[in-house]
Amino acid sequence: MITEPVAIVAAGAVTPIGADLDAFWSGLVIGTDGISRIERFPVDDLRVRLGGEIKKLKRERQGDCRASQLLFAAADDLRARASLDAPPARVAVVLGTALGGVEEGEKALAHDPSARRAAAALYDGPASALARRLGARGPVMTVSTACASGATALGVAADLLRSDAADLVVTGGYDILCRFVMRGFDALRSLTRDRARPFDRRRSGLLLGEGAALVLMARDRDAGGRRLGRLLGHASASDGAHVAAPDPDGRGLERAIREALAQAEVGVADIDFVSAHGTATPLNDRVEAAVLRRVLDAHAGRIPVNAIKGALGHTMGAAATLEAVMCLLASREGVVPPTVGLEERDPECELDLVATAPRAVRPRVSLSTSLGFGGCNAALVLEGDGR
Amino acid sequence: MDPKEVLDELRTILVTRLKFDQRRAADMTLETTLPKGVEGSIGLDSLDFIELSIAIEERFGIVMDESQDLTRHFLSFDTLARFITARTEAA
Amino acid sequence: MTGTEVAAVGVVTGWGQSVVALPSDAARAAGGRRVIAALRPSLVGERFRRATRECLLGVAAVEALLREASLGREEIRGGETALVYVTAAAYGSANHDFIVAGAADAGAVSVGAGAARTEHSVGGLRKAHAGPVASNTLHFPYTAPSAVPAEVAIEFGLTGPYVILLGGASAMIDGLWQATLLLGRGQCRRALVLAVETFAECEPLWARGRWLLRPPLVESAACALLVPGPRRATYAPASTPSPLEALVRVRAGETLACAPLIALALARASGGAGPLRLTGEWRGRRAGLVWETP
Repeated sequence: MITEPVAIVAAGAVTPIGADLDAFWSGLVIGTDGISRIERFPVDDLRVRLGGEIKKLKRERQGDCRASQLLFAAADDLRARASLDAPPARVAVVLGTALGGVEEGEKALAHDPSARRAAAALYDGPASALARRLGARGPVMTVSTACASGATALGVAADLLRSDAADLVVTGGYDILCRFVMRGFDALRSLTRDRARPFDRRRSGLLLGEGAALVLMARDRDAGGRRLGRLLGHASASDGAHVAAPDPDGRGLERAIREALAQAEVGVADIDFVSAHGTATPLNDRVEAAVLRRVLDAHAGRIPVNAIKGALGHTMGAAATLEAVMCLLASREGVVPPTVGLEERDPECELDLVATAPRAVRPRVSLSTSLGFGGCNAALVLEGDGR
Repeated sequence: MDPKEVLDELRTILVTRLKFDQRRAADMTLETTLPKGVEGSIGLDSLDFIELSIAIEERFGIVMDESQDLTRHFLSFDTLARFITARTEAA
Repeated sequence: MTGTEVAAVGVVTGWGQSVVALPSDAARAAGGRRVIAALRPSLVGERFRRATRECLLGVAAVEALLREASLGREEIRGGETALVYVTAAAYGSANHDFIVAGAADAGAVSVGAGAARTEHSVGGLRKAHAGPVASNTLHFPYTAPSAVPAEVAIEFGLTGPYVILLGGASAMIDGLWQATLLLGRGQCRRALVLAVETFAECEPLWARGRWLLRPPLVESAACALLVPGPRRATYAPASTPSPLEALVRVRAGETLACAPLIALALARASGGAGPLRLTGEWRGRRAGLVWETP
């Protein structure tokens, strides 16, 4: 299957471990712990009160919902690195989110049932706000495949470029910490009362985080000399198993990985690095590790694998995009960041996990995996520029 | 509390928290098995068990240790009733 | 890349089953009602005990499709069927209930909010649920937009490619376009394109958005089956509504993401040959998808 390469020209981000892309990267490499006690909204009545909270934004904007604020911060960072050089009608925005503007819904029901607030509560509100701010008049889409949203968005963005429906796409993912999601995951007993320890034998659950990550995508032939890397392949597959828990056999994830590799025309032997979803729940990590072992097969022993949700918390819609960007930065910098929170590897997770220290390795081809609520599995195959 | 009383409370929980139909719940006995995959059970899955545990904690005032594997207590209403009775007596 | 064809469309709306139930003029037929609610499907099986109304409507739409297409369930099962789901509003009621339940738990609920909760039980629909507003554990997974396609995937054994887009009619145009790409690239052998829209539980909030949507808001669920076929589909912005878009608004009312699927059903019902021109608008953007004559 021949698919035209799509370039990831530049990226911008705002995260619990760094307010821009550079701070995010150095924070990852040195193993910064972005988890803290949540301060922005009441958490005293919840069992778990910790999360990857962004304490301070470079610019606080009055009147914008928090999700939009995170997006604008990431967009400012992106635009400091690359300009949107295309007619407005040819600039598209595709964003992934699990919860969109839900916090505005909380406010609408609590004290301000205005039309503006209610419209902002719709999950696709922030994407609209970002498009307006960027002056983008091309297609505007919100993708919501739960925790895989940040991957699916990149895949749909690539489709827009290949179909010639846009010349540039600002794409990525975001989500915020709010009472809604903290209550929800608390009710599922998915949150750990310890710390998030991906692939650790003592792991007991995840912690949530917030963030926004945006990349600028263009057709490879339009990208000029400078790029962070390329998106070679994307695929998704459904579990069809359970509304909240992953399929214990991980067949959906396996299907997504194999399909993404096929689309990328890349074999398992070509993979240099895997960024795992690694939420640190007992079930996710076991299923994911088993699938990766199955797919990587004889190569499993030599392919480094990491997971960064221990450092940031699970940033939901932002996660897969942040992890994709990390793959490309690892290629550029020649370093794979450690898996914060992993101290005692679970013997059942037989992977070459980059644990307590960063590893000096320069991956060219990376695989990034995501497993979302309701059985949304996604895989991205990325190629770094390596310089 | 005797097992029948506990069963009545559990039936109420099944209706109000787990969304079972009233008549279905009325038909359940101590012998009724719970977990999905067990022949003739009422088909509770992991999500249901979390909800059930929380409801039991709230209703009976007991605390369940998450680190322990309590699966065997959730096999049937009988095993569950015994577990609850033992824990409420211990408390 | 191969072309595609729309094999069949299943439609369920507040007006009834399929497009034959649509009035000739929705605004007149509404008679002042802001929301035309769809009945909660009574689906057999304890498996649906936890599912929300919107999940059941999603399943009902696929069942309507299977009837229209004279297909058995086993013919869509498996990894070769893609599922594309689009909605603007269907997650609203579950979110609303979860937020209100949280406020009640925290003791912060005022008399106003408590009364609001009952107010939102339009036509007794919510009373179909046993007991009080849903508790947290079972309810939270259903607040995610992905819950509807998840329940559909589970029910019909769908394990193929998966896309979920949020927005109104233009997002459905995007969704149909995605389906044509997946088929064209051979990533699936058939694609189900599904939309569900519900409003009843959040009616007061939607009423305030009068500037965003024209009444009547008509709850609906629809599912199209796309297969490889002779027609090329062209995806491009549209400056004006197509005749089909205008027709759906007149006949069905405001159906958001379901509108383009209802348009497809109406086009098939009238049996016209020639290009199929679909357009859809949401938040000021109008997208278009044109299936050329084979």
